[in-house]
Amino acid sequence: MTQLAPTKPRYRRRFLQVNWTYVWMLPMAMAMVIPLVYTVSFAFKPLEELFLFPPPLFPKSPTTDNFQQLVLATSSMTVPFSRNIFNTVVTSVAVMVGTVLIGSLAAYPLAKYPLWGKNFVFAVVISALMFSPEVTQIPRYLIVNELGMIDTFGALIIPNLALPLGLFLMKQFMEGVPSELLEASRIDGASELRIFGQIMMPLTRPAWATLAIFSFIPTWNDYFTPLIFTRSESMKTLTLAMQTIGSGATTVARYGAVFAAAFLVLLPPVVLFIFMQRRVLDTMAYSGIKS
Amino acid sequence: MRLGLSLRKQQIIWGYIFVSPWIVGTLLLFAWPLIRSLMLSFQRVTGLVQLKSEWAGLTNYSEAFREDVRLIPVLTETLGDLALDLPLILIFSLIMAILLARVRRGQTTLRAIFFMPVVIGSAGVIQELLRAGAGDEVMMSTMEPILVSAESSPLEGGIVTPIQATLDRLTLIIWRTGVQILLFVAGLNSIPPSLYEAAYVDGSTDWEAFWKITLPMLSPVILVAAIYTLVDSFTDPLNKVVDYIMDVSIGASLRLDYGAALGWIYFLLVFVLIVLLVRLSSGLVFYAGERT
Repeated sequence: MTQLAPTKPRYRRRFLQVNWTYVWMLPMAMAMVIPLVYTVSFAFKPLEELFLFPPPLFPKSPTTDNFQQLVLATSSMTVPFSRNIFNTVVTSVAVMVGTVLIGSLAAYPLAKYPLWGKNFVFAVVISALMFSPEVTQIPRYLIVNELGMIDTFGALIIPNLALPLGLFLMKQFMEGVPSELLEASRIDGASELRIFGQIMMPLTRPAWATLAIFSFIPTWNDYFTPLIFTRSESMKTLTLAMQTIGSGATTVARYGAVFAAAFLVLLPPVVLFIFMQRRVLDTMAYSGIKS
Repeated sequence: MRLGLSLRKQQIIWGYIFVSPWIVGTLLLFAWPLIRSLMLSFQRVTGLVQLKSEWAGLTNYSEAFREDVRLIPVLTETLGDLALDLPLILIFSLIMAILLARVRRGQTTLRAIFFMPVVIGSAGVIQELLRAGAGDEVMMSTMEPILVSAESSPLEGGIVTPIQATLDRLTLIIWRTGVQILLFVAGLNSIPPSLYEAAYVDGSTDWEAFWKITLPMLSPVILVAAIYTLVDSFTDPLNKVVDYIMDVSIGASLRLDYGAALGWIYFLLVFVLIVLLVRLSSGLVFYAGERT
């Protein structure tokens, strides 16, 4: 934040500062990545190394045995593994797009319009945030059942869409957008939909990119929702299929398959996250929020 | 949509159209289940298959406070942990975000690294999987390698133990700061650089700029981060209270009614805490854009 600051030369101090920053961050960064490193390294460890204690950080003789075990384990399942992957991908992407759209649409008027009852809606949002979803799971199941959505994509996607966190986050960021911008475009004759699409959304891109990550990753990793709302093998998601592999780990060799599967499940969120992260940063540098 | 309505009326109509998908979704899949669970908490389930139940008044609630020996200890323990963790998490993530905002080389990479525990940590599946498929301590240690290495260090006992306990706690806290760091970095990046420019021209130091510009401009984000932290720890499936409620309602005893009552007691407690937080902070939070 200081890059624009001084006119007098303070190069020497700046140099030291930045160095200290890195020194501070290094151990923290290490603590952060260690679980990831372990997941990766376990996936490539041969069987005999899996049980070493304390577990060494890197495999001594890396193999792909575990992945072969995984293929073996999944080939005996009634539904092709690719179907489970497909289910998870469709669900996660749909939830991500839907959450961003519904959340931003609802947040815009709440942040910027003189709407009747908006304080009430916002109070509902805040209380919705606090209620542990596990606790309402049983009545929620009954309702999804009454709607006839059990064992469909609808059951996997729709209950996760009206995310209170999404509305909260978007509203908080949209309040920071100057109202003058909206007034100006209104005077120029832009429709409300256009103001939303061409002013509000581009300006809050960092916020909804964040929201996209927030909604994608938990859905991808979600175990509870598919467990409750699906019945048939062909609607099972990746996480449930993995559970099957895991519970089938009666032989020692299957342990390796579990780690290989864990690695595969972890990979897409991590990759997507790194990709999105870059975009978020790029947008922030040019967005109107900064100036 | 120009039916001779005034601009203001059009705007309000559009406003309701925009909010309606969210409202419908929330009413159907949040509010209605909530009402049902509230009803359930005042009932006694007599037939599990068709969920037959009869009204039982406040018996579930009185049981929670008079007979339940597990509830109160679990609640106080969770609240005590939180009182310690919340400020630590906020201060730590603010410091990390400020450091991150200063870094010019590799900010993207570093930020990605700091968010990693969230990406991995929400994969409760993996923990579940490892526990169910291969209930082995070594397997579990993939998630808590630092704790394990600390436990197996030769320096055990004596003075080292409390230090190690603190370190253990810090490690767990560090892993819970990903979202907050992201929020703070976004907040820091949205502070207009002209404010700092003006301050430095007037001879402000970095230290002064932090207290007079960064902190006030960041205060709404700090509130968001605080609420997020609270909510995150209260709804965490690893949270002991949630664990207990789930155990009561879908565990061996399958007491849906009592579980619902516990859920509501817990919810009211969390609600009061967050309202308190928002109220207490209302004088401290500064909004730069005007609120209409």
